[in-house]
Amino acid sequence: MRDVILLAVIVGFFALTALYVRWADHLVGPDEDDR
Amino acid sequence: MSAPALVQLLVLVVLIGVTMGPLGRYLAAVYGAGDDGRAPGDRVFGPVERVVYRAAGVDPDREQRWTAYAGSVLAFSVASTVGLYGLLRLQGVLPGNPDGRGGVSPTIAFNTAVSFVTNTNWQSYAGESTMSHLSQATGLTVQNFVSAAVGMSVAAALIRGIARNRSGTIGSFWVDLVRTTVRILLPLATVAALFFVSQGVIQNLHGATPAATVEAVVQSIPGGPVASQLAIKQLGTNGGGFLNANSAHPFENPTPLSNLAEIYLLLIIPFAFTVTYGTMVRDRRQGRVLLGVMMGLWLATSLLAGFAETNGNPALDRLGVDQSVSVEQAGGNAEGKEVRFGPGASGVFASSTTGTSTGAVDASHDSFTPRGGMVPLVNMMLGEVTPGGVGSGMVGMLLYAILAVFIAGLMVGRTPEYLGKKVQATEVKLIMLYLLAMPLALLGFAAASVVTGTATSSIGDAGPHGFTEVLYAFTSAANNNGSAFGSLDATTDWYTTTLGLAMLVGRFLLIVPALAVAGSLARKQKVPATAGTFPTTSPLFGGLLTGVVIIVAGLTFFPALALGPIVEHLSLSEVAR
Repeated sequence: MRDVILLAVIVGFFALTALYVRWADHLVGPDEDDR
Repeated sequence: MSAPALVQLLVLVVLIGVTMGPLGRYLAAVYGAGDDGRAPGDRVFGPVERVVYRAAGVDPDREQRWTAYAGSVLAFSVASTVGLYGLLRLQGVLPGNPDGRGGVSPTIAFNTAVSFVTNTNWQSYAGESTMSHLSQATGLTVQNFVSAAVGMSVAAALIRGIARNRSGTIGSFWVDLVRTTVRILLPLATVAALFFVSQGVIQNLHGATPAATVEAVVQSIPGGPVASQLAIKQLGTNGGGFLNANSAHPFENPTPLSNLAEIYLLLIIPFAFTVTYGTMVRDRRQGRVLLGVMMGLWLATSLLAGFAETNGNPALDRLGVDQSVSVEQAGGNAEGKEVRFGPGASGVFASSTTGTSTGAVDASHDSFTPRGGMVPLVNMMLGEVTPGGVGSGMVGMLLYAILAVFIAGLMVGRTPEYLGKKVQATEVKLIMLYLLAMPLALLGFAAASVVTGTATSSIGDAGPHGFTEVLYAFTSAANNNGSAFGSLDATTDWYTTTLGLAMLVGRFLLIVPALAVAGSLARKQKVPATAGTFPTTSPLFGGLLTGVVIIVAGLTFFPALALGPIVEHLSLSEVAR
């Protein structure tokens, strides 16, 4: 059970960090070519 | 500080000065590659790399946007963490286990997996009595290579972001990762491992050997592939020792020469990156300014730690204890020091290992005087930019440089530019996110730990020293350093999990905004310098940059330092009076 919780913490952290990348990209804004 | 320690410092400066140029230019050639896409060593390393690319399904000619680059870093790191966690849990049923070690407990496996993937190498276990040789060699040592390569890749991507003009991409993470490992770290670590073997560092696949001492007690003499792990542990600014005593153990650091080589190895790539930077942006003066700031801060902190430890403990002066350095004794604050190295050299090692993100130790930082012990703490709180970990130090210093340019722009009322790139709200917001993540994890978890019963029961000493133990642990974790103040029992569920989370935040929540800055700058058009452009190659800029580094850390951490080492020093002086 502890293994499952700790692995979920690891995967959950990286999933949230992937969302952080998306948010930071929103901050950076679209490339000129995409506008 | 004793004459031998000062000579050692001088030798280090000369060695670094002589070798960082060629190494830095080699790194630039590996990361920059010519217009024809060729890099040095293609004939030797190219076939090996092509096999890796084919096996991983990577197209080496395809560059990535910053988001794809960051996504690749995260994908590689989550796979590494889960894989290492599984290996540690299952080591008891796997081969390469001559001492019959059982599986590592879940929370220690979590802490260790996160620790080695984030290049922290905080160790909540004793290496020789916990890990199998398979775990050490294929788990921890492999992560020593690739976690260092991840940091260097991110630095290369940020430099490309600054150097390129109207580019949508910042390189390929997979190419950077493979090239860093194959063309830089593996060859250098091989040479270093052979040197360490020549000094007496052990390298074998034996289990522990029982030996009867003269007191008729059976002592367990450890065996294992120590030299190969030691080389990358120092070179990759990892710091996780094969043996529990780390570089204080005679099997892991047998001679003063091996001690000097260990310090040199942990400093050389971070300093060489300033040459890499100057070469890649085609203005070597830019790199020299960053080198001056890094070198100045490293020398200052090394001398501070060395002098503090050589001067000894003021409370012992009152008792008439002779702490002077002489031909008969190493002198100074001898507690927790190896007599082979002495207090001065131990201070230089402590400053170097915390100015980089290494965390290896050749003395007990817990036994340093409050002033001497504050140096490693402050080094880490500066964000480890003196000169910082492999890659991560360069990233931190470059972001500080952009911030310094922004502050200078505010002072003179002009739009700030750095190497022809306008620094605007986007970059400053991202740099703020970069700067806030580490203190948030550090101070947040440290504050929770000093008010939570389960956490305070792990503290080994009362008063300000006990507070410093907790502060040091989270400073080390959140900065991916890995060194520890002793006395704190960090093997409890609270500390293994919260320190693990602090390491994750301190690594990946800094990498993301750094790569975002790279992506944002890469696509900008360079503007020519005008009379109003603030020159970033002058000593004035070096001074401003040094001030920004110190002031940001000072404003963030001074209150916490005041409660720990500062009040401990004042109380020690009071006792001495």
